[in-house]
Amino acid sequence: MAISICNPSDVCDVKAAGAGRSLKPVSQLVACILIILFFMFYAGPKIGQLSWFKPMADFIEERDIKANMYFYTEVEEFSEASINLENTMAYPPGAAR
Amino acid sequence: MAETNGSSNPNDQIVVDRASAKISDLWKKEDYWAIWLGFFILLVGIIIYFNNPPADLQKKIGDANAILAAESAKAPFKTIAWYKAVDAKKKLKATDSAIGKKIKSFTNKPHGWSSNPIQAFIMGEETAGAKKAAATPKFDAAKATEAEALAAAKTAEQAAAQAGFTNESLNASAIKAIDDWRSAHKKTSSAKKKAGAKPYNQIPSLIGLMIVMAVFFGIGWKVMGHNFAKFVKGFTFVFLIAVLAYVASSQGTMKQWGIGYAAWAILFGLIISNTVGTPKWVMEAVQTEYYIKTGLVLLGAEILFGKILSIGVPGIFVAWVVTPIVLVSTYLFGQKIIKVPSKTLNITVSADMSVCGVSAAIATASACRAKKEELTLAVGLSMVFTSIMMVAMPAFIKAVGMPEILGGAWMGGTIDATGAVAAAGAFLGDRALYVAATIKMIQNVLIGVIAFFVAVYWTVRVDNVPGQKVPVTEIWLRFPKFVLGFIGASIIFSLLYQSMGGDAGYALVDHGAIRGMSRIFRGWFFCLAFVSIGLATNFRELKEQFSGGKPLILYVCGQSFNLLLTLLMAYIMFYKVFPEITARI
Repeated sequence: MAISICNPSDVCDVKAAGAGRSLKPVSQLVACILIILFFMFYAGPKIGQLSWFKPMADFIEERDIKANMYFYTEVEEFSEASINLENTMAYPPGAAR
Repeated sequence: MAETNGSSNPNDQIVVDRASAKISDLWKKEDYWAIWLGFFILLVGIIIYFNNPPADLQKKIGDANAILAAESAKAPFKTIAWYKAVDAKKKLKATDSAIGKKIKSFTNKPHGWSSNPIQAFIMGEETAGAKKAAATPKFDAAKATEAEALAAAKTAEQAAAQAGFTNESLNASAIKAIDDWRSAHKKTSSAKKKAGAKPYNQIPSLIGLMIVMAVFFGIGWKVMGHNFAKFVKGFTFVFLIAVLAYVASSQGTMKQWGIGYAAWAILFGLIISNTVGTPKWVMEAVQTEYYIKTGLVLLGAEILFGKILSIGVPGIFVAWVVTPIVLVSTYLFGQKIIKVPSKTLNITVSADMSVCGVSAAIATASACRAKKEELTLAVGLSMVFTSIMMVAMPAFIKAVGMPEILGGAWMGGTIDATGAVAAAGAFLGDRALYVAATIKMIQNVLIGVIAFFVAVYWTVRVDNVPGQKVPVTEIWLRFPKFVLGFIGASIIFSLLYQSMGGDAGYALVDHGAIRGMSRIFRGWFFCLAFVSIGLATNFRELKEQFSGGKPLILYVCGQSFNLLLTLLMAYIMFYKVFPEITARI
């Protein structure tokens, strides 16, 4: 992305100047942090206990799957799947039959 | 070549390409620096891991393959010895060498935690001991269950062997018993990891890593004509937010929700820039493109073209035929029907949805020079739908009684994020996991091809006046050069992998230079890029991108089409055209 529509430093100057004059930005920051903590420690685990989500949540925990990773090299299960299937194709059961 | 136009018209903030090139571009432009830095890391990885192979590599591979050949000729199903031989090959990893372990320890991200975030950085002897003590009974129980399952599998296999493997009922019993053993084996492996808790202090190595990366990027920054000291100063802040993003993503609940570091990095950056404001001294190191392009060159090395043959022709059809059809259809739908105002937003969301979520979005957005808000939006949409589909699809597949392999292929072709594919696939069963993961992996390989064609299409068509003919030299001058590094890394590593043979490639390339070097730094670089995006974006611009909910409509319509077409293709390929491949799996 070679494109930057806004000029970030202008935005920052305005914000920084405002921050010096008012507590509003700080209170906004604190509110955002509190919302994240609420989601992480209360809402998230609560929803995780709902019947439609719990089996998957427990399964991910039990198998220690990195369910929030983005590329196949980051997830151990992909390595396992790959080597199993490659060997299945190279040495198929009943090859001599 | 990319410079900001300083006029006062509405496009004044848009970078335009000036078709000129100088030899000094090689050390003055960040596209080239991304290539040099990326290849430097890859070269270091190759030197380290190729010189530290697992002991007796070729002999162990030979022994395992001899067993596999004998077992595959003996029985019409995968025997215990067959699985054990594959397990033996799995252990052959250059990353397990002494230096590999040191690199892992030095570059480790913050550790997993559930309620105490300090444990992301530090775990004392006492806590580790308590964790170990709590996990050991489960591990012991898992070991006992596995031993029982193995004994039952041996008995069943022996019974099938005594009947010359001709009794269908005995064969089926043996397959079931062996599957049960493999499932117990996986549970033991997970329990073993938890029972192996050791004390750690990640803080010194994180500081060391920060210094290494600051100098690494700072050198390029300096040569490009900027201020090294200012960059390093700002980098400490960007790195700190990246660490916090990793801390948030490694929390237990967030892992279960599938919310990864990219989302947290953008969110933390956005919160800072839109509340107290990004400090001015940080802006020198808020360099999204520099980090992202270097990360993409490393990502190229992880795209191994040989992987597309992993599951034969059905996999190619599901991943490499359906995906481009969905991508092009969604893009055209966005242009002609929904009329998404930005072509770059349209293609970024289309690629993100049809290929593999965040990684594809990054590559495509970079190739077409999308705005950072557009990438943010695509990543956000992908996160939300990935979490929903990760839970909903296996539940639906189980409810309707869809065969495991069909379900696996369907999920692998449609769920965006790879981690969520692994969770959803494994939840259905091992065969579903193998197929889902392999289809997704083949789709991952498509990223390189798509990024290349998007870069060419944008250079030749989109960025030009309609009807204007562009000479080849002009195309070359305008072409984003880091894409060449990305494709080059992919070709070089694919050739290395193939030339060694799959097994040695697995040990030295896949579980050496890639997972022991490229993957680690690429993750950090993308995280730094996403932090930078957040720190330089304000909510108002993000809101503008979402006007009328068009990106959401585009995603939902495209994904609906993707779900239908992938299911249809998977059914035709795995059950009508190639049932023998399905039977093998």
